[in-house]
Amino acid sequence: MLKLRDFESLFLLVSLAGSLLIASPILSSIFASGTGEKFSELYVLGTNGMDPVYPFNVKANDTHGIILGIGNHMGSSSYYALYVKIRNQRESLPNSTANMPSNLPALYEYRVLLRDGEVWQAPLDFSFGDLYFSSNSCTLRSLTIDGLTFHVDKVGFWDSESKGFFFQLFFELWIYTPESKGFRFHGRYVGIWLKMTA
Amino acid sequence: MVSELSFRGRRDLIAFSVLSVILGSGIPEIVSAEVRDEAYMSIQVADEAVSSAFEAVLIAEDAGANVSTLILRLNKSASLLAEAKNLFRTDDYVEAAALADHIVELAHNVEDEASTLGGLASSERESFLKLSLISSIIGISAFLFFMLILWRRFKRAYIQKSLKLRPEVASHAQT
Repeated sequence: MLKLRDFESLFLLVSLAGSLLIASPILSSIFASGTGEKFSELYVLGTNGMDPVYPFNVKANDTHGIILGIGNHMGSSSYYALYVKIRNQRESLPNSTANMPSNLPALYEYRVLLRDGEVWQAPLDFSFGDLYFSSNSCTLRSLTIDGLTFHVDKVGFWDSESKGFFFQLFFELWIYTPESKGFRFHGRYVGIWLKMTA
Repeated sequence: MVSELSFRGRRDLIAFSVLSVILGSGIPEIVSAEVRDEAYMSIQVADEAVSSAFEAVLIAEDAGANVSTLILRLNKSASLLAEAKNLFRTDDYVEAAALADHIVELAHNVEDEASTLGGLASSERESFLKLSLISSIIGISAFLFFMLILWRRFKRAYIQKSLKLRPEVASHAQT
């Protein structure tokens, strides 16, 4: 049989648990914390919005399309900048591990505000204008994105392994941080390789 | 005399022509640089206005306000800002500057509303916290008082039960 002291402990325990239960609404609002991992999605889709079927063989002045997407899972509203850049095989990519963006200039950009859990998608149409081929190089003079033409003047070199001249169109995701009062590279980028054909 | 005058006139004409060519080729560039600088400044101001409005929205959201409409409106400003920056990159400075000026007005409106909404939400939250705190204190006190009464009754009943058991033990001991 339980002793009086054991019953006393049981009563104290029940009193404590009950008090915590009653105080739980105020405790939860004081010690509220973010749930789960905080991250952002960045993706590129084919024009049908389903399969990752991207344009590959590109001719001058042919228009191609892709769909870009961003998902916010940061636990609060976020303000994103998505930069569109182009590079040849020898130019550097961003470094996600070191959180370093590519040092190439942005040709085009998107600015998007998303609430937590929201997803943004937008079509991007592009065409390569004025491609000049020589024996071992291909010069791209301009790139048109969503109807705006940008001066590029970039040289692509012959890739003997893949047998072609390639440029990579890539997209860097930056996020606004109130602490720094500016955008910083969010460590995410995606890109598609494009083979230039005459 | 006549020939001297005509010589001077021809010299002045040549000097004027040379000056015109020099100035003529330089002026458009100076004007273009000025327009570009103005557009750049306008975009900078618009960029800061959108960022500042976003910070106000974030504070309002943190205070518990419903910021869905504000986010939608600010998204429009952010999208226009990107458009202005893209136009600037294509050297369309006039259009870029016009867009930037429009963005500043939109962003300021959002920021003002976000500040008002945030203030309301934080005062509501404060009242809710106070009410919750008072309710919790009253609730816990009542619960503990109830438990104390229950414990006293239980203790009395337990002791009485224990005392009833004792004489039997004593009688056994005597026999």
